[in-house]
Amino acid sequence: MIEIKNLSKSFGSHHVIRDISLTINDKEVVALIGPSGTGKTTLLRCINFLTCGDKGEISMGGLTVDCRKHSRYNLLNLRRKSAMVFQNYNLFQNKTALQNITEGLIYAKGLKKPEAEKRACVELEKVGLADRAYDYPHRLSGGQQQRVAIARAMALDPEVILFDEPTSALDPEKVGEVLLAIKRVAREGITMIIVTHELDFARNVASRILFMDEGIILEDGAPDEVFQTPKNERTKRFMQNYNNDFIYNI
Amino acid sequence: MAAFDVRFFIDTFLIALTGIPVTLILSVIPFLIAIPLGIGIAFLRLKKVIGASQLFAVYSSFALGTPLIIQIYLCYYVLPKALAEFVKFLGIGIDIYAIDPIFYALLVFTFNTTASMTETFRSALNAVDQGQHEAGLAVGLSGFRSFSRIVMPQVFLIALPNMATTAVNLMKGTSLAFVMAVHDVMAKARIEGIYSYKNIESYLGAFIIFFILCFVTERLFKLLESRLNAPWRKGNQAKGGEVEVAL
Ligand SMILES: Nc1ncnc2c1ncn2[C@@H]1O[C@H](COP(=O)(O)OP(=O)(O)OP(=O)(O)O)[C@@H](O)[C@H]1O
Ligand SMILES: [Mg+2]
Repeated sequence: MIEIKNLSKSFGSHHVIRDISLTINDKEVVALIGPSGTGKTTLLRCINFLTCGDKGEISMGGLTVDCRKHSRYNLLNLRRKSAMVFQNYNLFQNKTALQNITEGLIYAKGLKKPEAEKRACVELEKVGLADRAYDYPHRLSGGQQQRVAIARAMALDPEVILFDEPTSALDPEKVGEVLLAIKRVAREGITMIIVTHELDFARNVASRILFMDEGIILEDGAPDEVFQTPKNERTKRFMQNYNNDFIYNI
Repeated sequence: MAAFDVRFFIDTFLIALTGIPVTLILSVIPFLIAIPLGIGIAFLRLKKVIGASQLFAVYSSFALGTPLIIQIYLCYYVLPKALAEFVKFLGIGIDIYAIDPIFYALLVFTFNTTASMTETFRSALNAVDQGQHEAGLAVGLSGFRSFSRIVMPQVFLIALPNMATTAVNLMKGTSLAFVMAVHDVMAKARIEGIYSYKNIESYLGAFIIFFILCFVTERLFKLLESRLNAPWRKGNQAKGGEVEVAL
């Protein structure tokens, strides 16, 4: 279970996260949607403290860390309970696909090298890249890199995987393979928070949708609820645009 | 003007050769000290640590923006005087003027080289995507591990060509150490030239020695670069199998 309590974050005078409280249960697949620049990425980054909130608490797997007073040790332990998939993959450029996965297993989880490699191969297999284990990131396509990043996150057995627009840097024809890989992860019953602009995908894969605007979560509910009968005016407008796009697409 | 004295040329060349150890000491020691210092200062400046950042910015522009020869004179003439006053003030009985001038030479070359090294690492650190470090933290590496295992190997490879330039510049710069009465290659050749009035023969010897030393240094760095020929660099053919890049 992940609990966010009264989280706030500003950059200068710009209030990006405004007192958000949120509980995410085990095995929930949460899609976080909303207009650009409303703090979705910031919220994700506050959860694993890549960005430190100004105020509030983050709890994960029995560990609670206060944004205002945290030890280095607590941060490390909190980060070890989560994994993240970045928009631009962020694979370690100086490591092979396999080493990208074993790095965390060996140096964060303390696995022996052979065990780590075995585990890494299993995860690579799952994303269909077993044959690319010894390739360096620059030799892989964007879609392949993102699948390695997903395997890297999976291998850590985290309480939660945080996805930040995992497909928005990809060529359109590569989006499908990555979405498919994420769907597989979802089926394994891992808790996930996915920031995405792929609303069809969100609706399809998520068990819960959060709509965020200007640092506040305006809507929180089951996909059908949020998409068909949104309560908030802003959500309605956002969904309308989406539905219009949908019509244009047809 | 007298004809070129081959005999004399060979003799002074051999004498100048005996200056090589000093030239190497003056080159290698400041270079090795400058690497960790340069990384540290580059880091402070990039992190914009208040006070330290500004201080080292001034330091850099002073060290890189003034002629080396003036830095040498200042270090050699002003520093011992200041130290002597200081020692007198403290009432310790140390004779500052008994200190081997090579220490002043090492000091001034380290001072100068650290500044170039700082710039080299500042741009190399900038060239590595911040996301690399964040990804390291996100998979649960400590800040230090992420930095040393993910960021630094990439930084070093980017920095290597500039480090080579810095090394060669340093080596060339050590030829000014003669003004501090340090007996390097240049000083030895110069002394022979002055006493015999055969400047061409003497300086030609020093010229050849420095040319070879700098050439070898450059080659060594090239060799290092191809040794580290990291398969993860764009444009390199990736080798199959497990290639651990040792850095
Ligand atoms: N490091 C930072 N320094 C200053 N401002 C920042 C920083 N990071 C984010 N912001 C600002 O915070 C706001 C929210 O940014 P954030 O990246 O969280 O939005 P987002 O919802 O993820 O948007 P998008 O959908 O475009 O990715 C933006 O206005 C952004 O300019
Ligand atoms: Mg974002």
